[in-house]
Amino acid sequence: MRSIRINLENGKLMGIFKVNILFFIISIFVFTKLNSPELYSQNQNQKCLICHGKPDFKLKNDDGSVKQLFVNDSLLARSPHSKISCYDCHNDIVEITAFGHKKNVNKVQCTRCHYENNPVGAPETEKYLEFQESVHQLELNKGNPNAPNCQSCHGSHDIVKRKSLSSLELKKKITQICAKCHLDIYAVYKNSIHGSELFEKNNADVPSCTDCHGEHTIKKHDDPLSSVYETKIYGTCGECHASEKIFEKYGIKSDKIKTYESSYHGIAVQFGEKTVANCASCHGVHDIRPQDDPASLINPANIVKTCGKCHPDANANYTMGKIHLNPHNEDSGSIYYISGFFKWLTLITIFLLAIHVMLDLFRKLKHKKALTK
Amino acid sequence: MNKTKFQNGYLIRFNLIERIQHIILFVALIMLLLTGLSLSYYDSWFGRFMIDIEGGLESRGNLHYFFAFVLMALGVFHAFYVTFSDKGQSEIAHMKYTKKDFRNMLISFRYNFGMGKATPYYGRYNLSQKFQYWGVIFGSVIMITTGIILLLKVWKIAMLFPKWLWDITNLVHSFEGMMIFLVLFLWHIYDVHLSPGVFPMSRVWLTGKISEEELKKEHPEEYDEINKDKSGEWKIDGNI
Repeated sequence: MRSIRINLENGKLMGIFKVNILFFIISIFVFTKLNSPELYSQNQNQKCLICHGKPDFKLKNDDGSVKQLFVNDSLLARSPHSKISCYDCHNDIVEITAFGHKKNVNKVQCTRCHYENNPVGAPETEKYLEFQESVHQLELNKGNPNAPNCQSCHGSHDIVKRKSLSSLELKKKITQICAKCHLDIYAVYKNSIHGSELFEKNNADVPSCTDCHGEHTIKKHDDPLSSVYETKIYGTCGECHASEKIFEKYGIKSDKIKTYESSYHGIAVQFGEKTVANCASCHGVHDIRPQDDPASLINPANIVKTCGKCHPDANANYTMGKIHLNPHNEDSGSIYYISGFFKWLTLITIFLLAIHVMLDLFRKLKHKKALTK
Repeated sequence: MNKTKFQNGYLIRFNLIERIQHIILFVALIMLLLTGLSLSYYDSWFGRFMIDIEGGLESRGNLHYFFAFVLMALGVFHAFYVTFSDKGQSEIAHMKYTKKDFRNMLISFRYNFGMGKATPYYGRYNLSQKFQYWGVIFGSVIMITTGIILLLKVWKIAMLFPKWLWDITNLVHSFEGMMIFLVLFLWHIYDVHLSPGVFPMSRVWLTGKISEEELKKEHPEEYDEINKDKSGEWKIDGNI
């Protein structure tokens, strides 16, 4: 506009055309360049980073809390979202002036891109549908300000692809993510057999939070659909404690789940009974420890107390004997031998009875035939 | 009250009280068997189906206890019956094992293996009948004893027994129950339903009557004893 005005003042008509054509060409060039997504997003992001690129850029709320507004550009550049612009996610910011943008910025909705058959090529997932039923979404719906959304766990600008982490790194990271809210549980878990194996021995076979509780599907433990619900927990523990893969790797043969299933507790659980003991009732929840640990619920010193949670008059006598009895296993002692004795007794008796019946039948039929002749 | 031994060619073998005892016994045993097996085989289609029609796990337990008490009451009654009633005393005397049983067993073996023509000379109760009677008595004593121990635990009465005793009791209870079913029940079913001559069913348990012909064939000693003293009278307690 300015150039046109100058040219008009000079009164050179041809010059107007020349400059206009030049301007047009430059505009097309610039426009096409800007329209290439990388440059466009970079340019746009540069604008945002004028403020958000400063590490000390923060907002002081009325209640005195401080909100970090710094966006680490280098982390963003390494994230899978490096090629999209700020506006793609923060789509409610339309106007930026020298004083910044509107105050109450909406939370980013990941489902803008991440849904099935999306046109922009974002990884398609139905996970967010599972999340709809989760305890976290239910809390969000209730308006709980502390309830997590996608970015609370996945991260926002620093988001990384799950596959870029080893399973050990992932498991450790998950505990830290959950600990942002569930710190008390993290502290207990850290000292349990699972936690100490993970953190001290770097064992990636132990369960971290999501292995038991589920990820997007996570439900409150008293929700019948929860993977840690009273009647479901033995199956969840069994994912590892009845797993052939784990047995092979560690050279153990554990029948704890099977023997639980055939115990009175296990049978009742399978019929939906909630008042009977499940794995966690005796072994603990986040505080599971090996039996020789003095703090273990199943340590001989604590076992009476543990049984006493449900059987108030339990005494030392009551707990004398093995739990998780397998009649087919020699370790079960007397049970193994008595069961074997009965098995053979029954088999031999049945065998003799069968012989008796066959002989008797044969004789009687022969006798009958002789009579009818 | 005296009656002649044979009425229209039939002899009264079991009186009404005995027949009722038998009916209560087999109803209780079958119900105990079904409710017990449904717990043993809880993870099969049979167990699931049975527990379902029994009204759930807890209701299954209560049914089992109910019929256990029926069996116990019957046991007490039966003990009084064979101790104090004339008919009971005479029946239990016939149930005793004697030297004749051993001889009969040898004859029976020889006959069954085709090594002799002689048939056993059985009295009022033959070998398998005696075995089944004492088997039921012995089995019931074990089942009731172990059952009561287990019941004490269910009712949270006794904490004085160590856990290993419960485990053994539990094991013995389930194996002995299985044994009673496989041996006594199937054997008895063969003897009174499937065996040629009585198929499809011996009716003695309903009418209490046995024919002269059958008595002669199956219980020759008893038949001969009755016929030895033709003027003798057969004493029967109660009405038929």
